[in-house]
Amino acid sequence: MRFFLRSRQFKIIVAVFCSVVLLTVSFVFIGKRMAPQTDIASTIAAPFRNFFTSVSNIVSDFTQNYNSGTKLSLENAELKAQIDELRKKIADYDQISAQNELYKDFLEIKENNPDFKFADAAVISRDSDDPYGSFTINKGSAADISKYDPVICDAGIVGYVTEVGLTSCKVTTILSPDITLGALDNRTNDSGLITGSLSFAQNGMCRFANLSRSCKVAIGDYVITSGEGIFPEGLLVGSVNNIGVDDGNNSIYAEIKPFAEISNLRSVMVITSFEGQGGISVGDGK
Amino acid sequence: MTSTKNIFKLRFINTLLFIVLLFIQYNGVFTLKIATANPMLPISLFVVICMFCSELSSVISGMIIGVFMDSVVATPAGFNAIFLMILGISIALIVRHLFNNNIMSAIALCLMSATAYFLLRWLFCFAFSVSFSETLTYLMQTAFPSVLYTTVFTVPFYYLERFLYKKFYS
Repeated sequence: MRFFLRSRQFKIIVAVFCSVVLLTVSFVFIGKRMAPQTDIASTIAAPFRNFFTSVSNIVSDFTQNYNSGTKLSLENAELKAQIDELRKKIADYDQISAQNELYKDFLEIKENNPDFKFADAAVISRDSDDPYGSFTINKGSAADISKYDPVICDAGIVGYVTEVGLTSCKVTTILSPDITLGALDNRTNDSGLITGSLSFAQNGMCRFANLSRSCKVAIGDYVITSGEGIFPEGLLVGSVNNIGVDDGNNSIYAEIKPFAEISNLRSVMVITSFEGQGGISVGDGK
Repeated sequence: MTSTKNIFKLRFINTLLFIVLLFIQYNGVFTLKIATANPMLPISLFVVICMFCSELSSVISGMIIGVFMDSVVATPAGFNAIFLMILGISIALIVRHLFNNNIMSAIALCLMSATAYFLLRWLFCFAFSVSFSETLTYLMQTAFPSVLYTTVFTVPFYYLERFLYKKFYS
């Protein structure tokens, strides 16, 4: 052991270790980009990850089709029962239709927000150990993406960019407690904060917290961004699934089911620029 | 006498193994999860490889694998690279000076390494960002079952690596 500590090998090890630590620490303080060694690794791995993502998507599609084929006969019987049920539900058609129109309006984000600039990206890897479902996408600073850019999909808001490399970046989802965004109940205009928590994330939910006790939020309401923080206003977040009272009994919170299916996302859009970007910034304390 | 060609072959096979494991771990489609337990396959293989490597090789491979893991994992920057470098040199030294190189040592080392990994990850990612009850939930429901599940993979990896080592180093 003493011999090892005096050896040339040990000096090389110390040098390599110190350089990795120094590089990492310096880039953590600079903040906006991935550490260079990670960025280089990410760029080198990008084509392989794209390849593996395509392969896994093909296999996943195949297995899904196979499973659905065997379930067809069962589904047929279920569908017949559903037809009867749907006949009853047709009475509510007008109401559902109106909701649909509202939903459609929200989905036409780009048309309604000409100031938005988007970068399309595909999900290339997922951190399977992260209960909040963070993932990596195949676009980075080369596509004008920068830290804190909002990430959305056709269904609604997904999260924001936390680390940017040249050809990839990491996305933190709205299930994470690191995120805090201002939101409104679309029907009642009650405002609160969307944030994540571990127990909610395990069920794919997030928390609409800090609602006043006199709020009129109801189950089924849509929640949209209010424009406070790093997200533009008017983006769909999710629907109210349940309502409860905070531990201190001071405020109400609502359990939100995000419209975006975070665990099954394959492609997303990053809003690289919008009017009012860089205003008040919340989450991460930055 | 081990030729350079054989060393290269062994390293090439290990690299391929790591690529496959990193793909399985982070592809987002396939998963080896059992309930909330998710094995860290790269840790398991890395521990076994370090048992057959020199200190320098362990550190360098730890750095390379860790850097690639850092590019996809939601941990603080450099977490995996630094952790695997320290783990690599520790295992190489422990096997050289303290433990015998056998399956029981491999299991013990993997158990300790996986525990250290999940505890550190818990400390850096969860301990200060969620409530006390939630951190406990993470430890009990996710971290500790994952440690045990990771250790299970040490057995096949150890015998595979020992086979490769004997084949190329004989």
